[in-house]
Amino acid sequence: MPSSTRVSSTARENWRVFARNRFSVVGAALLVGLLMATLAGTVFTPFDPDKIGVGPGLAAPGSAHLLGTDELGRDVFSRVLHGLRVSLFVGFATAALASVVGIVVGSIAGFAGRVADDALMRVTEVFLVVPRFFLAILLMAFFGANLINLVLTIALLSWPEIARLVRAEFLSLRARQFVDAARVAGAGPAELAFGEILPNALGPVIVAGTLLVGQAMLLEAGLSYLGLGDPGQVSLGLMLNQAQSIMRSAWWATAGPGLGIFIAVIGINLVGDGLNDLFNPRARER
Amino acid sequence: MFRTLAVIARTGAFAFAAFALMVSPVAAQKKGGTFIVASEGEPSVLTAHLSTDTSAVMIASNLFNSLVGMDFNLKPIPELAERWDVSADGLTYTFHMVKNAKWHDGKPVTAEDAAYTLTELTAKTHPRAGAWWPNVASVVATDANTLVIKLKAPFAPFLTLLGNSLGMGTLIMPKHIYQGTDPKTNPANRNPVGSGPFRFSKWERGSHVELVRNPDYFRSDRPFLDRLVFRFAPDAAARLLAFEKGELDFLHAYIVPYNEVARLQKNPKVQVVNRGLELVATNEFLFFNLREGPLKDVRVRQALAHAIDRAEIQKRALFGLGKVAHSQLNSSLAWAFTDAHDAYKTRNIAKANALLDEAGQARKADGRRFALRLTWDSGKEAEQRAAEIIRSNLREVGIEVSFHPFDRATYIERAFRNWDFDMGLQNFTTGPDPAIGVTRSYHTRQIQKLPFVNAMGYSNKEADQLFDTEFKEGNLAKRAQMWHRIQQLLMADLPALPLFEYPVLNIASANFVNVISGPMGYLESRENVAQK
Amino acid sequence: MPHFEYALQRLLQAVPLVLIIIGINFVLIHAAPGDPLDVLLGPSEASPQLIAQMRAEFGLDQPVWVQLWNYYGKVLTLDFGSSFRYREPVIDLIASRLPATLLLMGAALVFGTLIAVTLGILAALRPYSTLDNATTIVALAGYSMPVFWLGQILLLVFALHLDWFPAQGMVSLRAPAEGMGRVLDIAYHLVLPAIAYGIYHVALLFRLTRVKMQDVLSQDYIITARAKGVPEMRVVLRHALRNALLPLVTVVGLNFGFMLAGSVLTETVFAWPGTGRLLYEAILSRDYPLLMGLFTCLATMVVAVNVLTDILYALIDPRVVYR
Repeated sequence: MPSSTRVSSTARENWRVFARNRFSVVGAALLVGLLMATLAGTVFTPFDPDKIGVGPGLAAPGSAHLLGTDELGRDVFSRVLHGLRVSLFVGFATAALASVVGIVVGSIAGFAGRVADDALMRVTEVFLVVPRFFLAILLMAFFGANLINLVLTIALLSWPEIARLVRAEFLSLRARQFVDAARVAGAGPAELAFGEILPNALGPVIVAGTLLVGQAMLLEAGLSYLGLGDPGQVSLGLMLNQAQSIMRSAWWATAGPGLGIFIAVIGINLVGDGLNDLFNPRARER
Repeated sequence: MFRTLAVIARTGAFAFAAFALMVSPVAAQKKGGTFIVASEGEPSVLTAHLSTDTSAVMIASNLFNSLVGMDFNLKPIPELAERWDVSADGLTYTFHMVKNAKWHDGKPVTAEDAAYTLTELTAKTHPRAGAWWPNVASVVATDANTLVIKLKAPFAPFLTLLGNSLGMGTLIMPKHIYQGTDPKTNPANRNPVGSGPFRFSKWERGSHVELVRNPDYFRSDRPFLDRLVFRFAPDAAARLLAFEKGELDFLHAYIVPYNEVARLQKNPKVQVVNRGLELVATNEFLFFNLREGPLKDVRVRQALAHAIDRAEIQKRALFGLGKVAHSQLNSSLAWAFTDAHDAYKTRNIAKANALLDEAGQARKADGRRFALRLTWDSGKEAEQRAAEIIRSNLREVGIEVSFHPFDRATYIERAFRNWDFDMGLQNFTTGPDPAIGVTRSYHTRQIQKLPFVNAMGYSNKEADQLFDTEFKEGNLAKRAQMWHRIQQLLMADLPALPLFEYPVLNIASANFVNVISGPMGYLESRENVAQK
Repeated sequence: MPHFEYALQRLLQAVPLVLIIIGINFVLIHAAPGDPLDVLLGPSEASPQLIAQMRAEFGLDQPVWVQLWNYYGKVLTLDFGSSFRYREPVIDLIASRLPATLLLMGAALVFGTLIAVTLGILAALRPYSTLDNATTIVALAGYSMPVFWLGQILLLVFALHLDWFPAQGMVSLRAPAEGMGRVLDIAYHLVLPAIAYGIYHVALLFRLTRVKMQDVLSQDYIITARAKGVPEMRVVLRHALRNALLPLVTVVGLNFGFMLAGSVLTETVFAWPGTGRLLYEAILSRDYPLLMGLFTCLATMVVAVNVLTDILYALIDPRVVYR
């Protein structure tokens, strides 16, 4: 495989650059820790998150209940773990779906002829302009709130960003020498697009995709807060909605879920930052 | 030391004031001030003749008057009627009205207005009229200040009914404004002209309704407040915050944040009033749509009753306040109430599962039997919590409950006008007399697309028979017997499962006195409220 | 004149976008479960005459393309129908609540921009210093936090425990002030919501300003200016800042959609009577005409701001025009 000047070829080199930004490392650590806690939490929550009355109502955080209990005596910590599971699922699923669609569309737009490019770009413009949140609200209110709808809706509104990035990369890469070399060696258009150019175009996509995870999580939390989330799932946004009326006597009911989202999103953003340093040569030189 | 003196002085003043209040319910009070009341919903009109929507009624009671009021002992007291006579056979009621009452536009209030209101407005547009109007033979204004009502048969709670003007739509309205118009769309519904202690000032949609003092009120020493504001606060959390900050002065019994009561009682800026609504005797019900689905089968409903942990609901949704409800009647209606027919007092999962299997609702491979939709007014926190507990309880017997809360107006449309629900959570007043409070929910004739009547579609011939005859019974013990039988039928058929009895408490700012002055609680007029 | 042509070009491109947004509305009315007339009229006691009238107005008994045409006609005359909940024309409702939202956004943007740009410049001048690191962390936190959670925390600390600010609403109801008093009352109520709302914007703008400033400061002509002895102040303000203004325009413009979304959440937490709160209420009451009217209006606003941004961008950086 021909080498390129854009991405370091050894993993160790990559890690060195990534780790130069201390914050990113912290972010990665947070994220990994959170992921582990959540996965473990799927199996090992201290209490059943839905069960009423596992503790006295409105108990302060303590040894029995790490984050206290809500007004129905449910364990906040267990609920936060389950809520995180939902949030992380929505975040990663959305980012994955949006990325896949975005990469396909962007590659075609960037590599195929002018006509295809124009058409696809007009389509992406429409999606970029429609405010995500409002369309999500309308779709959830009309068609019902459940996780699948949520993921589809947010992905539907997020792929254009990715597509634009991929297209830009394709446009700039396709005139490069290594592409010519491969073409001369007999590679067909598909192999050129997906075998040569795409691997080198992935940098900014990975960064954008990572940031998208955080944005999707915040969007889901916001929709749940407004009462449009999936009512069958424990959601961090819904917990924050219900905590508002008992905030006065139970600050932990607000702090718990809020911190959950916050740590997850900031972890992701820090990692995204680090990845940005990795893929952006100018950043590297600073 | 000054602090102690101040406390002693304040306590002394309190005691004096309390004594003074007991001696003369409305001593000379300070004039002035603004009282801000929280309303969990925004009404569509400001009168009480079209529906029993409490968000309209609580405003209308300040703009209009009824013929008689009621004191805390349920005895009728004078209002627009300063005295009355009842004939020996109980068929003729003669009301002598006050002579100095005026409408807000200056015209005098006469018996003609009262006659017009009852015959043309209440009888024709109020959803509860069907329950008692057929028994009225005639309503005639024999002169400007005398109203004679003749009944076809004696009706024991007739004066109570007229006194319960808010629930029965008998607030007197101006004939000269409504005659010849369609009472449903008359613009005066939104810009009301009444005879009450306050006049309409403005209605800012989505925000509040403002009323101002009526200087020509027929009780010349009242009202004391300058302004009365009803703030729409559909969001329970925002409401609580606003109250704590002093931006709201009154939270009524149904929107009291129960988990905060213990803490608020210790706050000197807050007064917890243990009166108001006790005689309206409110119970919370889980009511069922009997028309279709698994709920058609009485065994399924009984299974639900066995599976739902009402003690838990009372403990958690009410934070230990109030009581578990054991009958369709509230226990404060002591002469008629019995808990003997509540067969579901302790939770029995085994029995619930057995009944469900027997009814043919077997568990599928994933352990579930069927799903039900639960709807309620999203402005009520206690119902939200009860819903969570019900869902958790029913999951254990394989029933999946999905939540569909809506804001007040939408919830009423869906549940009561469209019958678009499986189960609903609703509080119903069962007093001041069960003939007025309970019959409307279970009589076959009350199966109509109107708010707060028989939305369940329940129909039982024996119960109808009893409903139609019990109020004619003069002997209280015999009447009670009939009500016992009714309760037996209702608790076996379970068109609605009684969950809990509301604690009688209202919360108000300590800056005001007389925030509650009648058994109807927050629905009464605020003419007696004054600044401290 | 190229600028004029560019502006015209952008405006013309915006028109089909608006038409598409209206079209999405139309699709939703018809794709929603149930009779479209139900969706438009709602569960109300509508008389048969009203029902027939609405059917005719919206042309619901005619072929789809006629319906679409009728719908465009109605919307372009700003007739979005009436709200179920309030029984008033949707456009009136939106118009009455929009000023409150614009006030909130304006306050947050103005103060937020001042703070963000100042800090961004300072951080760029002293890269990797304590100031830089500290503000970077705070900024990262700022756009990782759910805005409604931040709002709740501000409420808890500043409105309840410290009692420094009011908790809800835009004005106090007890003693409604007039004139200057009212202005001050509103300003007092504006503080907490504006802070909660603005943090995201400040964070983003700060980071962007910092990056851009750094880029610009490392350019040759800056080094030259410094070498020539031009005072630092002038270097920064005159040369560097002008080029760094572009991110400001970008962020405000392109982020407008996101900001509008944030307004829904902030206004709900603080019961601020703006269009965001109106949206929340419309959701609770399933008030479809209002929801759709809000969607069209707000989406159109976003398109308008995007176009404006592009035009402004062109004015600041002429290279854009000659692409």
